[in-house]
Amino acid sequence: MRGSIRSFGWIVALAAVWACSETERDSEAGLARPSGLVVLKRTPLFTTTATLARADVLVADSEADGVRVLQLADSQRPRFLFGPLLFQPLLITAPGYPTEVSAVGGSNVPVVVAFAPGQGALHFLWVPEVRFGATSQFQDGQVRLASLALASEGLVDPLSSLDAPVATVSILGTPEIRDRVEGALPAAAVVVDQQTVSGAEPPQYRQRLMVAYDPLTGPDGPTRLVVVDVSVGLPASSADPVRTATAASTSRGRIAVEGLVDTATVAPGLRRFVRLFDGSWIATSVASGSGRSGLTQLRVPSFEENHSIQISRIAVGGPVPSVVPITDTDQPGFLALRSDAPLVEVFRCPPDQSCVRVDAELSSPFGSAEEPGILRLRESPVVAGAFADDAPLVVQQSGQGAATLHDPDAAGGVTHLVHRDAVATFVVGPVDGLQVATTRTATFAFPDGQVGREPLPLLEALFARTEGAVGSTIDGCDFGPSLSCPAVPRPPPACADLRLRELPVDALYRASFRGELASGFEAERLIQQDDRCSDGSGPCRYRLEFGSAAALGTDLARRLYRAEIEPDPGAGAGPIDRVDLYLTCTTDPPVNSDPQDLEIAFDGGASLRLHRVEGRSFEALGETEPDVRVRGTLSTSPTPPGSTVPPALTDCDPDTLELFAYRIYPAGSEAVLTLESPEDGVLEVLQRAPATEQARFDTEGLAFTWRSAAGPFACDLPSERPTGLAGEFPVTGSPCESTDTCGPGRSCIFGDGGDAAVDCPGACPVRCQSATRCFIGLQPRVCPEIEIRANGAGPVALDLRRRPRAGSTELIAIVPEQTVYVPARRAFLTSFPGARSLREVRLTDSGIFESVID
Amino acid sequence: MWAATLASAVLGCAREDLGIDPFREGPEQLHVPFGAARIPPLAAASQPSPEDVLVVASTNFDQRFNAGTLSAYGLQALSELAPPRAASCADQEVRFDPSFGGDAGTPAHRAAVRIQSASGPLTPFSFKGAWVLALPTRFDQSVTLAQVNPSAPEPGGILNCRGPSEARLGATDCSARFVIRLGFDDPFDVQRVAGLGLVVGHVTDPDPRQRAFTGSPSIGYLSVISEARLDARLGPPGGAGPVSQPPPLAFVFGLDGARAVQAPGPDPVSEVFVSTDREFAGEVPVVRIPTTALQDLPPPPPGRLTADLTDLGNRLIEPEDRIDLVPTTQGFGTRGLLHLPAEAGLPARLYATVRVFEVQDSDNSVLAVLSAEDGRLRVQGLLEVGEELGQPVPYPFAPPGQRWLYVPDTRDDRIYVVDVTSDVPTVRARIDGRAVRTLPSGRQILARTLATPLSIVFDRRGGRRFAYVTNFENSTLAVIDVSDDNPLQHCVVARFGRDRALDGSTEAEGATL
Repeated sequence: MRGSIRSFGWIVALAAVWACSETERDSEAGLARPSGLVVLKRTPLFTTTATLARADVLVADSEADGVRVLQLADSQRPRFLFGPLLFQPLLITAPGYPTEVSAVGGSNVPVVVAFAPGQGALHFLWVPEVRFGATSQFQDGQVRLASLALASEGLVDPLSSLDAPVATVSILGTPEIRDRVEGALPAAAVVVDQQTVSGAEPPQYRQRLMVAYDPLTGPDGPTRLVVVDVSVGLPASSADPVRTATAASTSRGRIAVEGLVDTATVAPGLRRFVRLFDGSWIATSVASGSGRSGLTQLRVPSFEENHSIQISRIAVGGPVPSVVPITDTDQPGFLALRSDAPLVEVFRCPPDQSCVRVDAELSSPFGSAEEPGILRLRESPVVAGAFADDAPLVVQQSGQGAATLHDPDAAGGVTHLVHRDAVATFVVGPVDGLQVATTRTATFAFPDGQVGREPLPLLEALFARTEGAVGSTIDGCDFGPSLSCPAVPRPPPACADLRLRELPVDALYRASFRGELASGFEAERLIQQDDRCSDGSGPCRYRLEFGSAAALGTDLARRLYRAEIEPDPGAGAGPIDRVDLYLTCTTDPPVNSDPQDLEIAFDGGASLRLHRVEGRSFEALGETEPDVRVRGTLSTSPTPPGSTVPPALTDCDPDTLELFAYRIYPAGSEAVLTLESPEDGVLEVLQRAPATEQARFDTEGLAFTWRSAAGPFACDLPSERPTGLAGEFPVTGSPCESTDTCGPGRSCIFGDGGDAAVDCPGACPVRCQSATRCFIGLQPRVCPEIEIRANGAGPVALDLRRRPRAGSTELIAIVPEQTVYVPARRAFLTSFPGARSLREVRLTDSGIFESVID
Repeated sequence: MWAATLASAVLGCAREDLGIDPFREGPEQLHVPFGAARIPPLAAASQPSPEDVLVVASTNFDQRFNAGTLSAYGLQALSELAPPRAASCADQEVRFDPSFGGDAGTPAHRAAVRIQSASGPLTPFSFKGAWVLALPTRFDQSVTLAQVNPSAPEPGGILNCRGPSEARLGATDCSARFVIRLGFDDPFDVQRVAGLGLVVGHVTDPDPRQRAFTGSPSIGYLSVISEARLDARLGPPGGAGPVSQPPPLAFVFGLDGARAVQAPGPDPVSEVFVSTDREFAGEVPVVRIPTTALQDLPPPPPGRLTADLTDLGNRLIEPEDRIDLVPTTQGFGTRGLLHLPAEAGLPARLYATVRVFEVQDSDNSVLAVLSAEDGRLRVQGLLEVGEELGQPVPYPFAPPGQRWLYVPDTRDDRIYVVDVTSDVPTVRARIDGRAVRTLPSGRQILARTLATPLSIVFDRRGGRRFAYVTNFENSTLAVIDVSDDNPLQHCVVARFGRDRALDGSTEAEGATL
C-alpha cells in the first residue's frame, strides 16, 4: 500500500501554493496506476447542519486490474469506498489493465463500463449508490457483473479463479459483428447510452456501446467502428452478490449481445472517444506517420433515435491525443490539445452542425499562435483538462486581498488545463474569447544564507517563475509551505533561509555573472566640447550627444575606480554616495582645492555630480560591497564649497541631464539577479551569490545554457581598444593624459588652453579619415548574462509536482492522464498514473485549494 | 526481488582467479544470463533454418565461477522441447527442464565457450562473411569478440574466440586477439555502426553524486572501435595483428554514463543515439550525436582516466540534440533504448524505457516514445507502466502495419506487450512470470518462470512462434509461445536450466504450495 488520502488546503497566492493544514490519515488507498475517471452524480449528503452535494468518482486502476470508488462531498474529506476487508479500499475487479471507465452522461447510473485493452474486454460494473462513508459489504453492488470479450470468442478471465464468477460473452458470437472485426483488436470502447428495461426483475439494463477496432489492412487502413447493444442484468439475488455468487458458483449477472446497431469506418489510430454532449462524440486518432492523425466528430444514435452513425472529419494542425469538451450551454465546443506544441485549438460546436474552429484571434501572454482559433500556452503541452461552468476563479494576491479572475455568472466558464509537466493553468471565458487566467505579480522565493550561495537554485527559481509563474524549486528546500493561509498558524518553515518576495511579473530581470571585475564602464552619453569654447569667445557650453562610449568617461572611470575600490586609507572606506566633479574647458586651473576629491575641474561652473540615485540603493544581502550602477548627471548647480566658479554659465543647459552610467562591481566572482527597467536601469538587486568554480547556470528551459566545464565563468575582456566604430558624432580621439599613451607618432592633444598639468582629459589624434563619421569607442566587458523579459502577466498556475506537505521533499512522477470536473465539490480531479495518485484542485470563493489523494 | 540494475551495480573491480570451472555443472547450464541472440546460417538469415542457434551470454556476475560463458542452443531442438500449446494460458503446462533436453536424450545444447565474466548484452553482426558477437565486459574493461558459425559440424566451430595455437586468456577459452582492451571502465552496451565500427557505451560516471551536488557537468564515455581495428582482430592469424593501444574515447557532454547505444540502421548512418544511466538529479536521458563526431578521434590519453577529467581537451563532444524527460518524470534512470526505422507507413521512432524515481527507491517506470525528425528529439508519447522496464524488443509477428513491443519488467517479472502503432502507447497484454512447478519429490511450488527477464529473442519454427527470454535472476531460459495472433494468449510454456537464485538458493528449497 502506497499511501493514504491526504487532504491539504492550498490557497493560491500569486500562483505559489502553500500548505494550510494536513488532515488526519484516512485510509490506505493504495492506488496502483490511476488512469481513467468518470463522475457519477449522487444524492446529497444530509448532515445536521447542511445539505452537501455528493458525487462518486470511479477510478480505473489499471495495474491493480480494477476500479476504485472515490466518494466526494462538499466540504468533506474525500474517501475511498471501503471493501469487505476492514480498512481496505474496495477494488472492483476489471482484469486486463483497465484504462477507461465510462458512464452515460455522468448521471446516477447503476452500471458503468470499464475498457481493459490488456484483456480486449469491456467489464460491466454494478455501482449503485452507497452511503457516504459506508463500506461496500453492507450494501448491494460494487462488483463486476459481466464481461464482454471484444477480440476473442474463448477469452478466459485470468482472475476468474480468484474472483467470483462473472457472466462472460464474446462480441464475436454475433456473426454480423464477427464478420466485420474478427482478428482485429479493440482500440477504444465507451458506453453511449443506457436504458432500463421496464418490468424486468431482477433489474436489467440495455447498454449501447461504441467500439473501435484497429485496422486489419495495414497502417493506412481505416479503423472499424461498431455500435452494438447489449443487455446486462443484475443477479437474481441482490442481497449479497459477493457471497451468493461465490457460494453458489454462479455468475453474478447476466449479459447478452442484442445485436449490431451500425458500423462505420474512421481514420486509423483511434485511441479515445470523448463525449461532447448527448449523442455527439469526438474520436481522437494519433496514428504514427504523417497525415494520419486527426479528429472525427461522431453522432451516434441513442435508443430513442433512429439514424446511422454520422461522421465528419475535423482538421487540426497537429497530433491531438485528447480534447476537452466545453459544455457551455451558450457556446458549446471543445479544446483540441496538441501534443507537439503548447497549443490548444478552440472549436465551437453549433447544435446539429459540425464543429468548426473559432475564427477569433485569441491573445495570450505567451505569444501569438499565428492562426485564429489557436491559443498558445506555457511551454509544456497540455495533456488533460476539464471545463466548469459553475465555479469561480479567485486568487489571493499576497497583501492585496482576493482577486476574482472569473465569476461563475460571467460568460463562458473556467477550464482547468494540466500540462505534461504537471503544472496546471486555467483559461476562462467563452470559446470565441478564451483567455489565459493571469495575475500581475508573483511571489518569488529567494534563499538567504548558505542555501542561496549557489547561483543555480537562485536562477532556477527565477526561471521557473518567469516561464510560467509556477512554483520555484530550490534543491533541499520545500519552501512552499513556509507561508500559511490566513487565520492558520504558520507552520515551521521547511527552509528557514528562504525569503519570499512579491515582485511584478511584467518586468525585466537580468541574471548576470560577473567575473573578477572591479569596475566597468557604460557610457550612454557623449560629452563634446563646443567650438565656442576653443576660441574663448564666450562662456563654455557643453553639448550632450548620445553615443556608445566616451573618452572622457574612461578617465572618470579610472578615477572612480581608485576612489571606490582602492580608497585612500586616510579617506575612509565605503560606498561613495556622492561625488562632485567639475568640468572645465579653459586654461584655468582646477578650482577645487582638495585633490582627494576626484574632481576634474572645469571652470564654467557646470558640475558633474555622480551619486547613487536615491531610492535605488541595492540590497547587498550581507555583502558589503557597494552596488552597482552610479549615474552621472550634469547640472548647473550648485557649485561645491570652496570652489571658485564663475557665475556665468548661461548657455549651459539648465536641466540636469544624465551624462553616463558607471558601474562598480565587487571584486569577486558572483552571480547577480537584478530587476531592471529599460528606462531606469537596475531598479533593485534581488540576489547576489558568489560564484565558485563549480557553479553552473543551467537554463535549458530558456534555450540558454551556461556551463563551466573546468573552471569559473569568464568575462570577455577586450584585448585592445577597438576603433572605427560607426557613429554620427564628431571624432574625439581616445583619451590620454600624456603623449606616451597615444603611441608612436602621435601626441596627446589637450583642449584649448588645457595641458597635462591640469586634470583635464586630452585626446589622441584620430587616424580616421573622416573626421565626422567615426569615433573611438570603448568596448565594455562582456560577461555572461541572461535577460529575461517576464510576460506581461503571469498565468495562474499550480505546480502539482510536489506534495503540498510541510517539510516534504518528495517528488512525484507527473504525467497526467485525465481530468474531470466534480460539480459537487467544484473541484477538478486529475489522475497521475506515474505518481499513483490523484490531485484535486478546488475552486472556492476564497481561493484555490489543492490536495493529494493516493 | 532483485532488479536488473544488479547488472550495472556490481563494481568493476573484480578479477578472474583460479576457481570453479563454469562447465563443471554442465556446459549447457546458464549462470546469471544477460544477452541473447538468434544466429542463423548466413545464407539463410531470413528464413528459419534447422541450423539456427540461440546464443546466450552468462555473466557470472556473482563470480561463483571463474568465467562467464557463451552458449549456443539449437532453436529447432528447443522448439521441439516446448510442450504443446493449450487452449488457454490458464490450462498451459509449463515444462521445467534443467538439462535443456539432455535428460530426454534430445539435447538442445550445441556449443559453449568460456569468456570473461560480466559480459552482458551481446550484439551480433556480420563481418566479412561470418557472424561475430561483440560483448562488453565490465569486469575487464574490454570487449570480447566471438565468431559464430551455426553450420559448423563441431562445437568448436560453432562458437570460437581463439585462433589455432593462440594462448587462452586466463580461465577463458578466448585468446587476447579476441579481447579488445578499452580505455575506460564499465563498458555496458555495444552497437554496430556501419561505416564506423563498434561504438561502446561506458555506463560509469566517475562520481555522479558529487557531480549532482556541485552542479559540474556530466560526461559520458564512448569507445569507438574502428573497422580497421576489427579487421586486425578478426582477420586471419598472422595478419597485421591487433594494436595494443586501446581504441579512442569520446567524451559526451551531458551524459552521466552511457547506458545504451543505438544506430538508426544497418546502412552507414549519420547519427547515433545514446541514453544516460543517471539515476538522480537527472537531466538528459537521450542525446543525438553525429557520427562525424566519432570519427578520427585522437588516441586515448595514456593510462587510465580519472575522475578529475583534466584531459578532456578536444575530445569533448557536444551532442547535436538532447531530450530531457525530467520535467515530466523527475529523477530517472534509463534502462533501454530502441530505434526502429520508418517502415510500412510507420515513422522512425526511439523507444526509451526509463525508471522513474518519485522518491529515492520507488518502483515506477515509463516507456517514452521519441522522435528525431528535423534534427530534433521530441517526446511523442509516454506510457507509465511497470516497475522497472528493461530493453524493449520489437515484436516481429505484429499484425500488418502495426508495431508492437515486448517490454520486460525486470523488477516485477512480467513482460508487457505494448502497441506503439499509435504514438499513444497501449498495453495489449501482460505476461506474468509465475507458474506451478511440480518438483521430482512431488512437491508443488510457485516457480518464477520469468525472473528479472532481460533479453528477448523471437523465433518462428514448425508452425509455432516462440520468444526466448533470459532470466537473469534464476539462471534459466524461458520459452513463451507467441503463436496466437492474440497476445492475450501468449504465455510461458517452458523453462530450461537448473534454477539458481543469486543468493545460491534454488526453487526446491523454497516453500511448497
